[in-house]
Amino acid sequence: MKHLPIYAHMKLADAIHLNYLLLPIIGRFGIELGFGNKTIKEVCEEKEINLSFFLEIVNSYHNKDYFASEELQNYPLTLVVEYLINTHNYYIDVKIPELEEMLNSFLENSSIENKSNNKLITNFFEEYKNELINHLKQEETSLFPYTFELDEANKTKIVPSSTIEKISEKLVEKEHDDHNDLEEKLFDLKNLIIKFLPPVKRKDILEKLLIELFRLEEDLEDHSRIEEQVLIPRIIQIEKKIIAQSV
Amino acid sequence: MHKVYKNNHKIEVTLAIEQYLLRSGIQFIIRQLGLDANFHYITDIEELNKGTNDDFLILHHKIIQKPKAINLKKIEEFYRGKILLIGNETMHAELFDNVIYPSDKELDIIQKIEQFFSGIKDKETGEKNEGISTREIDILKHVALGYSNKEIADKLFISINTVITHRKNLTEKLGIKTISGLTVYALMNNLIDAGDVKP
Repeated sequence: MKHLPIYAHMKLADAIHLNYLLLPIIGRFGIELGFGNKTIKEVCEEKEINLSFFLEIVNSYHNKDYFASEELQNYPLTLVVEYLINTHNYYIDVKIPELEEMLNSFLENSSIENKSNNKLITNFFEEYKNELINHLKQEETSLFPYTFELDEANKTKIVPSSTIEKISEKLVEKEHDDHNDLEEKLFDLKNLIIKFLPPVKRKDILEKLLIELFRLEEDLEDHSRIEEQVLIPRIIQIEKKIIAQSV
Repeated sequence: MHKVYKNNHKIEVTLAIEQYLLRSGIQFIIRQLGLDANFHYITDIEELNKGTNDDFLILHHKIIQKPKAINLKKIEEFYRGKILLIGNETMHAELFDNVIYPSDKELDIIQKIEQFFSGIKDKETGEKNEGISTREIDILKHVALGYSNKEIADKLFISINTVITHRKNLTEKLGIKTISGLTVYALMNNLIDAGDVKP
């Protein structure tokens, strides 16, 4: 394996110092703070985390161009999907409630003349949030189970007719469009606040909110990248194989 | 029925001023204010009575014949609200919102001219609306209210392609891509009422 910025014998603490945005990522793997001077390898062994997969994820998150390596293509699909589900849970259980709380306190602290504009922003976020959650749920109830189904059929060489039917539904094609729509909406939300929201009473809350929105955007981009560049190509690959075999 | 909106948002100004020196002075100040204007000249009262298609008329009182009060009223009816009168203290200027007097100082004059154009500055060239043209605002309102491109094209008697071009320009100028984002922008700027938005 070529030399990576974040590697097995590096202390996990040093990796966090290198890029603190990795904090939520290690959380998704079930790693908690307080790991002392342990290396990444040691922590992964202790937590029974696939070391190579962990390194792939943190490095790809750290360096956006990293995916070109296709290293992630070799891990069991279940591992990739599990990671994606953990990420979903992080958005739904941690990130979104955090943002909602900020928006609530932002709204509560509005002056009378700002109230209606601030309410527009809150409503817009609400709309975005619902779309995001719908999208995540959609993946969990259709795309991910479908991935497992394909994986199973590929391994056992037993392909139920229902799986063939699902292949024709072309579930993966919707993914990219959905991601685009969500990205556009989040971008608009940021821009409305940056460019058009009249000055508010509590600048501090608004700034924090905006910074969190930027972070969420980055995190989601990374998440979409894993889905679009790792999961989907592999799904397509298996689909083709199954179809070729079933003819 | 519909006015043709120029892409460069130049404003069209008619100068009904006979004196060369005064005419040049006014043009100089307008350009100093950073307004991009095309000027047309009228030196003949007959022509003035016919009206023009221009956005603005700057009128020197000397061009009005007697009885001045009656003639002024006639012109006001033609040009309603878009006249800047260069008058004198003795004339009946109460008909007009925008009047410059001989006794006005430099700052007063600049302020009055600025104020006179401020309506259009906001709408067409101004900073307030991010350089969005009046036509684009029309489109924005309809988009924000939830109309489709086809519906907008039909309502405004323009082609769907024109609607799409306007929408593209709006998105570029505002940096907002989604319909709900444009709706929030329109509501924030009181371009539409919340109650009118299609569910």
